[in-house]
Amino acid sequence: MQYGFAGSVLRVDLTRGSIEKHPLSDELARNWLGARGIVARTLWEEVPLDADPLGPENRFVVATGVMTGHFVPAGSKCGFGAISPATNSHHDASMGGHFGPELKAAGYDYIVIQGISPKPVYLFIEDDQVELRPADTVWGLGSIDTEARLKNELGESFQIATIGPAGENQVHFACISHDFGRQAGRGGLGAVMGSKKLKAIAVRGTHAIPVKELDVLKEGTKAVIQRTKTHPNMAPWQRYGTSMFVGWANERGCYPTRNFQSSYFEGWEKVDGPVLKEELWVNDKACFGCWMNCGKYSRTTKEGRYDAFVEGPEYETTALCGGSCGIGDLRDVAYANYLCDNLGLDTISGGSTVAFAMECFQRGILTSADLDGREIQFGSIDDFEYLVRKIATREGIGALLADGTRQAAMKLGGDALKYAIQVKGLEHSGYESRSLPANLLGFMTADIGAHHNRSWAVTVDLELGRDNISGKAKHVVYLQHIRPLWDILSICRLFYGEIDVLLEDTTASLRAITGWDISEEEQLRIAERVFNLTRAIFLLRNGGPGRQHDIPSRRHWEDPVPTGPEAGKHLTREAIDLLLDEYYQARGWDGDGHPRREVLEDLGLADVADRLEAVGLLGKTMPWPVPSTRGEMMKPAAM
Amino acid sequence: MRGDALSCQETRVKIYLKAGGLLKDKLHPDIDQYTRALKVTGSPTLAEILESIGIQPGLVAFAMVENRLCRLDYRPKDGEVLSLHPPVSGG
Repeated sequence: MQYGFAGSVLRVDLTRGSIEKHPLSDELARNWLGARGIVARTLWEEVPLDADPLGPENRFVVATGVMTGHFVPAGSKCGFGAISPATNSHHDASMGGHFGPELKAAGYDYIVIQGISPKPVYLFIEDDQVELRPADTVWGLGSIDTEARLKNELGESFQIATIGPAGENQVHFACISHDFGRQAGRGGLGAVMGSKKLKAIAVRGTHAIPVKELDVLKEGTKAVIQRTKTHPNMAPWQRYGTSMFVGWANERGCYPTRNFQSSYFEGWEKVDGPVLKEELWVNDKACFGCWMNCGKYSRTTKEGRYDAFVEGPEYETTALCGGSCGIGDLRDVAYANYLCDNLGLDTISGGSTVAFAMECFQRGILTSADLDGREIQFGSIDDFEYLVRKIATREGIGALLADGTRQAAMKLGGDALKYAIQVKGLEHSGYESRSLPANLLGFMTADIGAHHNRSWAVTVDLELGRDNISGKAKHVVYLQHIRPLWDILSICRLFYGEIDVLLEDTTASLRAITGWDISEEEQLRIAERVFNLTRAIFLLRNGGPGRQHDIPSRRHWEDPVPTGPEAGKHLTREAIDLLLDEYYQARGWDGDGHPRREVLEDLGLADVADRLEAVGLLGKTMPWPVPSTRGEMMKPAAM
Repeated sequence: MRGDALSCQETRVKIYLKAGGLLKDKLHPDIDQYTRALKVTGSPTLAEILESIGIQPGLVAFAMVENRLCRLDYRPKDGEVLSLHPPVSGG
């Protein structure tokens, strides 16, 4: 009995149209726990290093975690992963809602999908009944429209994960959508689904998931519920969700504005959380097993122009589709959110790519001849809509932009690469970081590219001084273990960092669920194991030295912030290198950013060391020792 | 001299600050696990109050007073309970 798990794995070959059911490996469950961990191990073992991310050999993995679907706070998450077309490496994205728990209740811990279907299909799962069904009637529809259509056909109790037109057209930042507003957003996983002609997965499950000590789990979770109901941070989360941080980000000078040209958006008050609550809010939404209800379902209307329902906009969407595109009317931001959601575009990379195009036009890199005669401007929702529709269909300028800012900039040449605000091909999350070196370091070194999900170190910078460079790397390393650990376990990070539900609470739950004698240290070690494996996959697919891939846009050291509270600030090129030097040392890597054998063997990754060594990418011996503990938590915790 | 004269005329008010998460350890609660009582003179802003007790204002994203959101330039009134909220990433 594998307590905590469903116990089975689905393997789908779309080329052959075959579906197989296999038992879950005990080794995989214990050493990789789930979701991101299972994605990484599967990609490592099964995808050839020269496989095209949009080809048949790539694996599309849908993986729950050990805590998905259990009676724990916010055990709602489901991981999706593949080799990303944006970064040409491992990518995993975590999605809330109800899909993961439903998949597990159907009896499956994860699904591995390979091949390419000859015709569009969707995967139908209802407990033991699993089949590929034609998707002709929904191919071409938006994500929201597809979900509505499938729910009408199959029943409201089915949970749907789907792509929109952007995924079908293999846009490199196409997302996977669920529950009319939850996404596995980043890294172009929707494009991988589209490349396989897989429109959607529909699942319904009725099985129970075994728990070792159910009474212990119930009592522990009840205690957490009682404790958190009265927590002072709960009420604003319930009232505003993440949108309430727009004001703070501007007051601190870290809000991306006009493609990260500035870190302060004049008029931010009009896109702040209270405006969402007072003018657009319709209802609250919650994921499975969560009483926070941080999702805000909204209606945005402009007479004669649009009338749309959308979940959000959340902070990141407001930052990238709002400030970074210069859009200062929250109704327009919410409509931009709706457009991205239904077209199936990640709002972070989608907003950032639109902003990149706007800046390229501002600087004469793009002209109206490239844009059907238009003169695109920051602040225009009409131009935003024009661009995202072109991108989703790969028409006109969309063909250039659909591969993301890095590839578009390389084709445009000249200074365009400076205005592509990305690392490793993934656009930055919504924090302008010229005066946030620790946060920038987190973006630079994240295994999947510049995503806040791996490390968000703004509070490290505030605590240790925004002008200081040295001494921050070890905290970034810690964050890159603890934050992805929530994804590996498949519980919501937002709930944990802010409401005083900490790793010791989840460890007690994990022990009760599985019966394992597992410590907090072992879980962090698993997170570190995954991080080193994904670094190795990146190096093997993209070549060395690793350091060259960790450098951000040169805007960070060439252009001072022009306006706002951080006006005049910027980093230096030497500071970027110092950040990396200290980071590599804190990880026990070499000066090129390559993991050393001692670290890999310590993490149980001797096979990874062998493969790196065979192609000259294993870390060299360095003057500094490998730290026995990699990463250090700040006290008090800064998440 | 002028400052002393002014301070003699200023009122002292009692406010309550509440915090959880990463701010709790910095606040040093003394009423319950989340709450600290403070006596302040005059009508300082929340940012000034935070600085006076060693909390960087930047670590507070906003405060809530009786279910109303307020920012760091808010001047608390006698008897008010302000819950402090740290910034978070995500969404």
